Amino acid sequence: MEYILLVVVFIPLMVSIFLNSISTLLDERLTTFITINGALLSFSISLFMFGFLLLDKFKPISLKLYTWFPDPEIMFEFLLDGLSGTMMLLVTGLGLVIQIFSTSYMSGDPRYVKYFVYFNFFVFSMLLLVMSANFLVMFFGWELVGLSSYLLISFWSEKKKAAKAGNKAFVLNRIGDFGFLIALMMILNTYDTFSFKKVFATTLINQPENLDLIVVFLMIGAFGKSAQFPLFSWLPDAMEGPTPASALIHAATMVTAGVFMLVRISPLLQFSELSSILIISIGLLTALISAFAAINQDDIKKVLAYSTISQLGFMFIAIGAGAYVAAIFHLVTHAFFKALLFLGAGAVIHEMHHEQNIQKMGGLKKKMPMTAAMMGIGTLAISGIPPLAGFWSKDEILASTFANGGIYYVFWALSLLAAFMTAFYMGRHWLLIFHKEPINKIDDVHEAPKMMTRPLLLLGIFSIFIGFINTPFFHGLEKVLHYTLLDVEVTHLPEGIAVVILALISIGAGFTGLGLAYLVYIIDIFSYFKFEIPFIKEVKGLSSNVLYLNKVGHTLFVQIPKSLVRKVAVVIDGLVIDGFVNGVSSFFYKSSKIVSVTQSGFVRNYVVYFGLFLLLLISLFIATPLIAL
Amino acid sequence: MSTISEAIGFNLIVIGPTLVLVATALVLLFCTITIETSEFLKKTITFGGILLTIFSVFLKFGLFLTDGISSYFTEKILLDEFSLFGNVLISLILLFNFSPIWNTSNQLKDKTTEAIILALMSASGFMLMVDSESFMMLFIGLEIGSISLYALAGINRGDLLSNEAALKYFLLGSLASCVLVYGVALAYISLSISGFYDTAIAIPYIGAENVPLTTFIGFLFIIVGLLFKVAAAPFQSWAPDVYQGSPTGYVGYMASVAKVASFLVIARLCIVSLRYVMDNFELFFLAVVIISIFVGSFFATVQSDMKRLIAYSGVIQSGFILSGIVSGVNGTSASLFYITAYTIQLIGIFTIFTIISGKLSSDFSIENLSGLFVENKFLTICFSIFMLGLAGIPLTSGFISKFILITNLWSYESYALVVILMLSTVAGFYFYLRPIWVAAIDKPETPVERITLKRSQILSLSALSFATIYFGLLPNSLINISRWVIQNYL
Repeated sequence: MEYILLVVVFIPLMVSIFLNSISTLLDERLTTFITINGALLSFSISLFMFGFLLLDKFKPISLKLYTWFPDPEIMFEFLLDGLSGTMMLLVTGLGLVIQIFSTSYMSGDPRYVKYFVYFNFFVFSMLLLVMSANFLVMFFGWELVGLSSYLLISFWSEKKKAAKAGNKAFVLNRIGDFGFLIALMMILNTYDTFSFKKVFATTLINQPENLDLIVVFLMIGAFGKSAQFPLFSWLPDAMEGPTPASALIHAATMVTAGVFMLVRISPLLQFSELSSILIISIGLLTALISAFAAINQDDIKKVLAYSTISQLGFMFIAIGAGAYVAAIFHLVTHAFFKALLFLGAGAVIHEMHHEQNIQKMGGLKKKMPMTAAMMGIGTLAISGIPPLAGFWSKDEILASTFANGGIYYVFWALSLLAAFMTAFYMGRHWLLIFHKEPINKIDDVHEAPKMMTRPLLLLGIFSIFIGFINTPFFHGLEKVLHYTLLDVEVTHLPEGIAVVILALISIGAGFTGLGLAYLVYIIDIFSYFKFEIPFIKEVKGLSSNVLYLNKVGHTLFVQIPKSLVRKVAVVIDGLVIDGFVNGVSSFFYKSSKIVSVTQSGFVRNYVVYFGLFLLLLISLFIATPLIAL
Repeated sequence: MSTISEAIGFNLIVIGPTLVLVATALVLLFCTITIETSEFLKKTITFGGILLTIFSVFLKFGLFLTDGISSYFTEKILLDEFSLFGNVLISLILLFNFSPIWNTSNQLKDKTTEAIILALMSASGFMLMVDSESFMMLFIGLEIGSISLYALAGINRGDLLSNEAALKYFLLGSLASCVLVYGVALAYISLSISGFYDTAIAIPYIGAENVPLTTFIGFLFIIVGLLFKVAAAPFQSWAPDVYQGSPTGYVGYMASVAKVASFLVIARLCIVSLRYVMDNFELFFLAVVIISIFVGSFFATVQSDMKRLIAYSGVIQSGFILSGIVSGVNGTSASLFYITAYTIQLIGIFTIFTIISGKLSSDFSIENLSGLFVENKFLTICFSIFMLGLAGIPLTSGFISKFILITNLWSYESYALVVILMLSTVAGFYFYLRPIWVAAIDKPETPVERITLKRSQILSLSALSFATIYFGLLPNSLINISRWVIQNYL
């Protein structure tokens, strides 16, 4: 039974290899046929496995493939429990939907086959990451998703921006991976194993001294992959890749790998107060900064990218507050509505002939009613309007943060502010694209083809209803994650009337944000009342430049080191190393005559060396006791 | 009769592999000088002989299961884990080298069988060498093996380099044998010990501090004679010249078989015979290891001839293996793993060289490799796997062997050695990866000629590269085997 796990993981890899090896023989229809059927197969098998897991009350299934190294035992092993099952369904399901969308979006591209090769390879690496049963296999998946994300970001590598964005993503991810790698070494050193089960069991009994350090380094890895402050600037740039790929990788799945990993290591995390505080504060900071940055972006995808970062911040807040179920819940709902928003944006870009500036759009709701409606659903969902998906998960995060009490009241208030900002900029996003009076002519814009709108419809339906898997009345997800979080102290919702009040407040924040966006951008309330906000220009500038963080980062980490390195290069490389190397080479040149005597090829010389060295070694042997003394 | 044979330990199974090899050689000789025999029949006889050798090694396993570690022929022949391990390795080396050896010999026209007979005889000699209990048998085995190799090196009489290589190999080799037999004599006159287990019993009996210096120097000489065979510095000077000069088809066999046999004997000396006095040899071995690694790394970087490069790389690898052997029992097991992995890669590389350069040629410049990828992707991939294995890149057996060796050294607290080995691994990337670059990425200036592979070559190359990857991914089986060899001495 457990070997079916292998099938789930390796079908996408097989499809990828197969497509790549016969790429010259394939036309678009055949490629579509193969890749869609592969995705369908892998989704149905994961569905089957999930059903199997459900019947067994989510008891973990593990598969020990083989022992790679005997002592300390390093194995290749897989694990299917509630957590990885949820992720598995998410990855294969969204993978299927987004591949269907891609067949239409990418059609006509000369490297159509290559796109699906990379896409399937990504799905494989992501599955490897989530199904891993030890840190090493997880690290393999972790690196491979980084690689495939790099390949997909710079898919149109003839565009200079795309190539640069790919490099940036790769380098910033490397910083995070470095943290992960250090954590791996420390884990092996401390626990003598990589297996989750053993590590967690040991930690439960007694916590090693350097637990804080291990968790902090793992956290750095999570920050890199999940684009948290200060490693977040790669995600907006990553939008240079094909939009459907962004939808899967940079919204729904890969960027949530950090959240997944932190939930996976929650048995370690619960003992480390320091990292909990770090995670919640950095998550909050990220949520606020990126929500602020999203307000004045003009690129249709960049708004969504910043909103993704901000939502990831929410998930980190949940983890920091100990509400692991809420984090995974938000991960799931966010995956659906953000994929919906991205695919909708993709449809808009496709129909607008690759125009991405939302200021130049407007009035599209008459031309593309279906897309408009679906993106409307997505916007409402992310703003936290009940009963859509986002409301339930975001409310659970806010309420759980509140339930912790103490300093967490402040965290709660600031999260509420971020939620309000989310509603505001998402309202602006939708209104500017679909509702506002058009500035340009949009007569030649049509509704997107059916292959695009149908996935949108599907995701729209899910965005409405997926929230019901874990409401205060029905704790579905909590049961799914029961075994994963068996030994973990999870923060729950507050009891009684408090939860209703908190819910009402967060609904209020959502509606206020949306309403304010309508007032500001459609009715244009400021010019109506002839009211001028002081410093509006500066604030706008700050927002569109992300508080100048990227520039500061660029100066601090690129320009200054560059000039420093250049100076160092001139002094050290030019004078010292070059001098040394030149000296060495001239030394060799001069001494080559002497050396050539030793390599004369004359047997008599060799015999003399033989004897000499033998004598030397004998004297060394005789001298051994003297030297030892 | 039976009582006498029992008393002297007469047992043909224990020298079965040697006998089969000699018999095969004799049958071949008979076929050559009496009746006209077709090539195909000779080939069948040779291959059948090799298979029969492997079978007789299996018979030895059966004998080992009933008798355990025991000696035969009035304490001349020894049956223990080392000899079994050596027999298996040598017969596999012969099997995998069959294709290059036969194809090379085929081009010698009238001397085909002569070369085959020499190869078989040398294998029989080295079999005897790993089987030997008494030092005299060790010497005899070594000489039978080596003299055949000297002749093999010079078999292409038309080639001046080949003649030179043979003469050099012979003169220096006889010097080394001379030193070895002198060492045997010294050990015998000072303590009247003449075998591995003699020594193992005698030294603790009289106490390590009472062992006379002459005995120690005797063992030093024996070890030096063996170190010459494995081309450890400072006794490496013959290796590059001989590798370069000999017909390419034979070098893989010559290099691997002598190394395997000599290292097994060194390991047995260190683990069994001298285990209570190894402290005295520590500095000596340390010096040899460090010199080997430095000399090998230094000269390998400047070589433009691939065969010389592999020779110097062999010097480094000898240093690695030696460092394991002298650092405890676990280190020896790591070294046994290492030598198996290294032998596989060495045979693979020389098989490829044989295919590319023509069998009898002596020089093999690095430029010969350029354009290989355009010409034959399979060969390039195999070549890259073997070179990466030698360099010790993860996922190949080379990585695992270096890894377990160095972790063992670490736990043995020889930190300085660990640092040196790591540095040499890093330096090794330069000269191991350059040929891959030339073969796979460099654009050739002149169009390359077509290479067609025989089925046997494809089979043996894919088996060897599969083994390299397999032991990189699943080293468990080989680790267990190498632990089994040393289990009694833990």
